[in-house]
Amino acid sequence: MEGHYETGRGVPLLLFGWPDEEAEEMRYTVEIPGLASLILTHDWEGEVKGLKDWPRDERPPVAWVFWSFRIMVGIGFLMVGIGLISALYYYRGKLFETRWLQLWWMAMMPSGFIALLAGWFVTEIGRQPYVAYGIIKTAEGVSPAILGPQVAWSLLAFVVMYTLVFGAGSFYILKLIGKGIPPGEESGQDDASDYYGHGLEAAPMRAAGKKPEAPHV
Amino acid sequence: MFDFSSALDLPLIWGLLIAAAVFLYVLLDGFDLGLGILFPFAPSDKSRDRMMNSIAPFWDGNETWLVLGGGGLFAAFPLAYAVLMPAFYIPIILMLLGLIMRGVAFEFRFKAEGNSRRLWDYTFHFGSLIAALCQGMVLGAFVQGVEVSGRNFAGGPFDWASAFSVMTGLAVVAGYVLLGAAWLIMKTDGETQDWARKVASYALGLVGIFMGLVSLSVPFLNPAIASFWFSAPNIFFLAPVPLLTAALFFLLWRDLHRADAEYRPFLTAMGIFALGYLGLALSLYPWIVPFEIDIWGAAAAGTSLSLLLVGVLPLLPIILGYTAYSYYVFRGKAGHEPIY
Repeated sequence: MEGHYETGRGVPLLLFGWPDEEAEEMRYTVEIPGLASLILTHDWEGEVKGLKDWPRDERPPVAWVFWSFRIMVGIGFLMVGIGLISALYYYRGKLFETRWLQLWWMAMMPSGFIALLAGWFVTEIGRQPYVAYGIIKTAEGVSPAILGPQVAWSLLAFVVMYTLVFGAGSFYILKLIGKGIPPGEESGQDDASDYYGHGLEAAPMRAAGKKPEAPHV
Repeated sequence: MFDFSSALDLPLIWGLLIAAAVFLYVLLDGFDLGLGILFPFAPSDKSRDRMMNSIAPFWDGNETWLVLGGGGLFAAFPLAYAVLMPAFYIPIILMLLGLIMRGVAFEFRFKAEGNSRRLWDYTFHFGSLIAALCQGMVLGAFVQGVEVSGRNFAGGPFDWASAFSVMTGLAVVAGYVLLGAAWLIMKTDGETQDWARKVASYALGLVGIFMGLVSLSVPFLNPAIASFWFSAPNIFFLAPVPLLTAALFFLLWRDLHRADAEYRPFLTAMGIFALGYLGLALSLYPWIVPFEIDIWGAAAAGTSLSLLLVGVLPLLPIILGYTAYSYYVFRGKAGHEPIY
């Protein structure tokens, strides 16, 4: 996850880099000195074990874990950032007029979903080659009775099913957004300043009347 | 770690717990799957809205029991899980796909307009039908037994498909339709209820035929089952099971033609299911992989079962409590306005 190959003390936190699994090194790094040691050992000079302490066949695919983790954390920072900036603009009374901020909100629509998937990539790929860490390897856990074709077609069936379900779901969400807030529920349409007053109080009431769009897994 | 296995027969307790969870699943998801199967045949679109509203607060709670049954089997009887899941891989995957189909139909149907509503009506129907059929086929294949070698399933991927399992698949579909129709008699009135009474009458006839067929064929699957039911003292203790079933059939048949009986058909239909399930459970005890592995042979270690028991004992009353409460809150007739 941290992407360090060498064991050391006072290890930097890598913000970015290009893991080269052949050469066993991280290229083109952007780093914060000592921070990885602090996070992992609560000590600026703490020792962090590098990937080279494990034999090659006991390591997960480094690039996948490294990038998924950074995508997840990066989106997290974007979420915190947009929240803080929007709060600031709200207090200044400019939240509903700032175009670039609204575009940012629109771009953030799928961010939760992507961050969630990236997080799963980190845990599921990061624990390889084990299926139960340190106890049984994935290759040893394969069922002897379910053969390749069965696994392949059931995976394919799930891919098709989820594509249809998420496709339909996205379609209805976008349709709902496209419709906008029904007239009559919205107070003071012509006067944007109203949103900062009682208009906002009405919003949670509307939200409470609807079932949240929780994905059923 | 604590271990109660010297004081308690943990595999038996867990066997009973899982059997109870599966039974509650069959009973509860049964009526909403049955309703789904009936869905496109309802007399009007308004009546379909009422049907969906009548189960909307409950259906996903009903599926809790499938998770408890499956999860419990995995944790308490890992060997049985390892043998049964590969044996029934195809119908179980199909069942899950069916459950996904009907699950999303709930969410999307009320958001769809015009003709695309029909699409979700049929998604709901086929999802429910596939799930019910697969459950019935798994049941049939389970009762027939699976091929085991050592600690693994040793049969082919299509071993579950047989004339008997097709028959039990159809039997479960008919049974769920009966439960669903009886549920509708309780939860609706007017034309929907009239229609449900008619459907329930036909379904009751089919259930009678299927229960007769299954009851006649199961004793011949294994001589032990035949001697269990028909040997000297047992036959007197066990005779109430078929006799009570017959009595409930008669009661239900009468109630379906009496306008003032609105709640009793559902209770009676559940009673028929309970007796049928009891009959199968008694026939198969103590096998968890029929005729190959019994519950003691498949159980996890005593410490695992003890820990699981400590976890599930406080949890069960909570689940039962909130389930009962939600049925209480949403009691009475269902309307047709979107509540969802």
